Amino acid sequence: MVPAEAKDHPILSDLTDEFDCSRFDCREVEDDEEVNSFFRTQAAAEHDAGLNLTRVLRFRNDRRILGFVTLSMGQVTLKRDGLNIHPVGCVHIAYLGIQREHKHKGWGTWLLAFAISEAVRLSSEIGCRGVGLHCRDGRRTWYEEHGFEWYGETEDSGGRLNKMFFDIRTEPITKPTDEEGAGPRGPA
Amino acid sequence: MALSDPIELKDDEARKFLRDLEHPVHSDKRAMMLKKAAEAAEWLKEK
Repeated sequence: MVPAEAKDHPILSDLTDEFDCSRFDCREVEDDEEVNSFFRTQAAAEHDAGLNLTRVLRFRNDRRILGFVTLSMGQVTLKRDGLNIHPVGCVHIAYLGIQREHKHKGWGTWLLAFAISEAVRLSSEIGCRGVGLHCRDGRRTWYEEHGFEWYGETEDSGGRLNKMFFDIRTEPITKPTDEEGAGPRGPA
Repeated sequence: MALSDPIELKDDEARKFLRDLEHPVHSDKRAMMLKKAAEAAEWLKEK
């Protein structure tokens, strides 16, 4: 739901040293600790190095962090009727987190919607078919409730990761396969 | 056409119709998020 007053809604800003990342805490389940760790210790450096791009959700005139999303480009292999299987580009959500006291207000949904809007925008300029991510089991249902499809598994040092994909096109016969990951980082 | 004949999908609308039959909830969620994405692009702008 969009707040009635425009001044009441949050905006997205690039991550800069004006934000205090050290106090960010999105922990709701145990797996969220790795999201905290990334944001507190790695996000700014990776953003500055251009490895990915982190945007911070905040209210205007307020540097307190409501949440963040870290995006990069990824790749997923699609099966389509009549076409060869081949990898295509997508926006990859490397990490997404909402500060604890601001959870369950719909901000995470808006960050997902922003990632999807970026995929739609890029698709007019270069091959980009949707949004991919890897998530732990505890977050899979949430992403499915937001239109993501599960298409496989992988794992890292933290355990099992679910491969999820959101197809921005309406043609239905598109199936991501388990042959390629959506990107190198996770979990979202 | 016999009942056993396979259905030939001729266009995107037919494909979407069959997908909605198979995954109605998922299709609704995708549509909702695509609509929200269009709003998010403007709504979350810093300036």
